Amino acid sequence: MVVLATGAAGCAESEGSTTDAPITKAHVMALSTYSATLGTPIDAYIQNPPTGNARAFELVFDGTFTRPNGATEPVNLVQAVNRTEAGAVRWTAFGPFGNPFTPNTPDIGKFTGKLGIRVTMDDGTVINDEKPIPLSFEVKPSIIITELRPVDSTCGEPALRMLGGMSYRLKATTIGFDAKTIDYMMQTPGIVPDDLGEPQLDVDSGGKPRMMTRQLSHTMMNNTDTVEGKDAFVLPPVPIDIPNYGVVMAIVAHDDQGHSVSTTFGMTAHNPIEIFYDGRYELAQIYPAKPVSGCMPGGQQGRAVTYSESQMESRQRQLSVTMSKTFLRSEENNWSTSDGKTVTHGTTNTDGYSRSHTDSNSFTFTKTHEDTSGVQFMYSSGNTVVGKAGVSFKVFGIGADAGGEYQHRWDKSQTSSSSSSNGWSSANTSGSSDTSEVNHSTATTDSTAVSQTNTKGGSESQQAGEGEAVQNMWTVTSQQTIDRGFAGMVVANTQGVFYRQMARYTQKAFVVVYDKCGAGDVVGDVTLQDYVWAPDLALGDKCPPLPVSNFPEPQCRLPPCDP
Amino acid sequence: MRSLILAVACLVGTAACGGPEVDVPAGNDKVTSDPASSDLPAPTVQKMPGSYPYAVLAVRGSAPNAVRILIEGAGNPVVAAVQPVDNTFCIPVDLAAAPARYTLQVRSQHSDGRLSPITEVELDRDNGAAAPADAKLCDGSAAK
Repeated sequence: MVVLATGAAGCAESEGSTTDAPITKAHVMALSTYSATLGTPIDAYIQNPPTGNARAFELVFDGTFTRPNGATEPVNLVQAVNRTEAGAVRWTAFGPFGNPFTPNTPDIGKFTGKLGIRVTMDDGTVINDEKPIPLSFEVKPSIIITELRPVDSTCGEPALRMLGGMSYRLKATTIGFDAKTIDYMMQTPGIVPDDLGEPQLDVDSGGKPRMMTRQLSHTMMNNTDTVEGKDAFVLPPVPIDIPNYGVVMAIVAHDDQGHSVSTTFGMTAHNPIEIFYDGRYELAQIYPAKPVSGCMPGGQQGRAVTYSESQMESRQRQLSVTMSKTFLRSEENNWSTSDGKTVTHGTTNTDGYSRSHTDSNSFTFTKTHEDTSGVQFMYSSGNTVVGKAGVSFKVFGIGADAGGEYQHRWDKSQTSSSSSSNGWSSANTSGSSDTSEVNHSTATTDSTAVSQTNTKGGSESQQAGEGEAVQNMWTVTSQQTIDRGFAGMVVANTQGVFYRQMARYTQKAFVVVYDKCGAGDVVGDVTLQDYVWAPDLALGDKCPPLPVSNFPEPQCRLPPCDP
Repeated sequence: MRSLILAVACLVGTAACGGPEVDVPAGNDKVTSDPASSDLPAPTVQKMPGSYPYAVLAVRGSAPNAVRILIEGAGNPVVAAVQPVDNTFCIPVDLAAAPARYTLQVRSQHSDGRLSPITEVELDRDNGAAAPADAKLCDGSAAK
């Protein structure tokens, strides 16, 4: 008779046991599974989960991987994971692009060793698992995606993200499984052109998105198959009003015995340039409180007083875009803005910006429209080039004309991109005539800043198609903020004075550019300065002097600080 | 002085308006429901045979206020979700070694990461033990 207390079966030691000394730090207790095909999400459950300000979680594997032929190799794997709830993290990178235990020569087999968790707090403190648990983990027969890249690219590893409008080559291989055939299914949202020919989501009459599915079957040769040429997976472009869309790939390989292995994974398709905004607001500045009434006596009985916004204050929201010089110098770009814009570079103020550079990649896709069979987005073969990727700066949800289209082209020839036709550009065409493009190719001083202020503020911006409503959205007033009734009681034998205080909020988004292999890089930011107001009733024994308001002291927390 | 005056004014205002009133059914003096309990008691495990012949054992029970159940003591620690409707769980546990005596430590976890006290279950894995009547695994298949 064997007595097993805790720990792995057959282990005399019981590391990780709950009967040991209390564990005070984050500690892995268990995994959701210990036998999985590559591509399976694996959850890890943790004891003593850290607080919400933990910045990063990693699973730390330390042990040995044993292949079916008995060969072993050491494993020292640190794998980043995502927190899914207080006591759980998810490992989403267990395949399908490789076996993390044997990254160089993927194979099935079994990991035996210890697993712990490592937590990095936002102050940089690293917390290691005090008692990694002993475990064994089996990698079952699987499909590995060894290549997933645009057909004209040379990515060393499968793409991390996909790019809308591009055509993808995929290479799959099986491990631990003698496959004869393989089936592919790729599902994306349906994308159709709008009235202007721009891509938009295809939805039914009820607003439900229609999905588009592509299926393909191949015979496998030596447990390997490649999807390329006319079979290559073509992704529809990403509509301008969404940051990305999901792509689901399902792959099933079959042997001649009726067995199968499968993998399903999801990726996101992005524009080559996109704006990332997480919806965050920051209180940037609190302005001095202003008295907006005279002295209001409470009298012998006290008096109810109501705030009325008779002298409203207005401000212009400010939108600014800053792009890194490195990015602007390395790629061909085309930047155009509309009314009220300034382009700042050192002491240079101009209207508009463009940059050309010959040393760039070839990036090409186009779309064609075939009414008979819906819409097909076709890859354009050849060296070049109908490459276009736009992104709207309508990131903060303010008026269509707050958007601007930023083009990022990878052309082999040094052709100049044309100005975009949306957003700020459209305002230019009808609202003002001061747009010009200035080649900053020789500018080498600090980062180039392109900023637009007082957008739509001028009365001259009465361009067609961009009506008053949009213009109003750019002008914010205290009346908008203090529209609801605000009343107070001036207590008997006191004096009251209404104050109003303005505050500035900053919303910041980031401009992210992806290369063809899906690697992202932050190349700029977009910042919106917005204004709000609040009223207050200050009371004092006498007036004058003016009673002191209850508002916070003026302070500037984030520049640019106004007086 | 100003604070005092404001306080008095507030009191007067409250008295003038009267406090909020809520009509409740006869015999019920509560105006709100009881707050949801956040206690995390030790899981309750259904009675199991002292001696068990098969390599996989389905451990069933209930774990109030928990999102998952964890069992240690038989190889890799195993986890299963707790049914949110009735707080029940069923989790298959591999009893690979035989003959052997197992001490299973069962505990649950709240969605906020807290762990419950441990419920211990002991049993012998014995290939020659009498087969329990109608022993089923969590998927409904017969244990064997």
